[in-house]
Amino acid sequence: MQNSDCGFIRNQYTEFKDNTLTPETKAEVDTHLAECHACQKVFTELDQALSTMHSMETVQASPNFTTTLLSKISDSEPAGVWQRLYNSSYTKVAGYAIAAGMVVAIGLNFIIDPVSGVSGGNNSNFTIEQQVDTNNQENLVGASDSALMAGNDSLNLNSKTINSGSSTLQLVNGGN
Amino acid sequence: MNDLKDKTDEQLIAAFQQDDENAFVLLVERYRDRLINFVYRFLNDMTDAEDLVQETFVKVYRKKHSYREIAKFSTWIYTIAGNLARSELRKRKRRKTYTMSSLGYEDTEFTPVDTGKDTEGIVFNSYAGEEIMKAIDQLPEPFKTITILRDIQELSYEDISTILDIPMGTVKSRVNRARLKLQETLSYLRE
Repeated sequence: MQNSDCGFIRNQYTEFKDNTLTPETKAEVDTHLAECHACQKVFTELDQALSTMHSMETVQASPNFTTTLLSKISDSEPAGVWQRLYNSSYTKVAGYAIAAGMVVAIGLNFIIDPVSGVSGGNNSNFTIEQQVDTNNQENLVGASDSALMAGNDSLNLNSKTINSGSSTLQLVNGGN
Repeated sequence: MNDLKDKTDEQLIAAFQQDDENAFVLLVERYRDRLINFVYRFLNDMTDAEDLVQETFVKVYRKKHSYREIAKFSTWIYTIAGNLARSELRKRKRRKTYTMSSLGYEDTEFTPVDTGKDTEGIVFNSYAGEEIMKAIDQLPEPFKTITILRDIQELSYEDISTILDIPMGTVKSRVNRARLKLQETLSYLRE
């Protein structure tokens, strides 16, 4: 027997199984199924099919699936090992560490107070400026004279160094 | 690697996006069988299914940064595999059409179509997996995909909605229509 309700009832199958029908519709489906053998058959066959599908035998990947995949990826990588090294977290950490070290080294150069007498390997400018500040004019002229006597290279070095303080530079040049 | 095993899929892909390749290997181990089962139902060929799943993982590897945590990882990877499977099916269909049209009348061989009507040995009222697979294979495309996703892979309506990019209401109604079509096909195969 299939009456006009059968289409409607069969469309409720999924929600009926999911228990998401309203109580009224669920009651309607129950009543219909109790009377309609055609719909009963459809619901039963669907239950069986779903049960088979849920317990269907599964297929498995071959044992060397992952190895094959990784070698496929490795072969297709354009830069190979170097790209991997570049991408690896260890390389990045090492890079960050070196960069941080350089920043600290440069920062220390600026932080160290030259007047306190603490000087690093690159503090020659500050040392010489200090000499310029503390010595009087004659001493400076004398220093330049002795530099002249020591040769052009020394003079150039001194002039260059003193150039970092413009007022002092005028004084030295005037002295010469 | 042991620490990674407790992580969710989303945490693993995030780790892989930070270049942790061990996380990628774990994702492969978690998904290879699930995806092969999914794709195998489309292609009915184990070698092709395995190749296609490998292609899926290669895509995940190369496009790892295109994953955004707005979707579940499973949804993302099923979408990739599903798209590749559908594209492979389309290619097969074209090849089949070409092969058939390139054959002359004399060249064609008569191959009896196996309708599965020989039900001897099959217990009535219970379906064998092979019989169901045959029925699924005969479903029109949108119903076939939705049946595989919902009734074999047992994905949630929400995930299917994202994978197929259709509203949840449409997913539910298609699931029901697909089931009714499947039941019709099974009845037909048994007649």
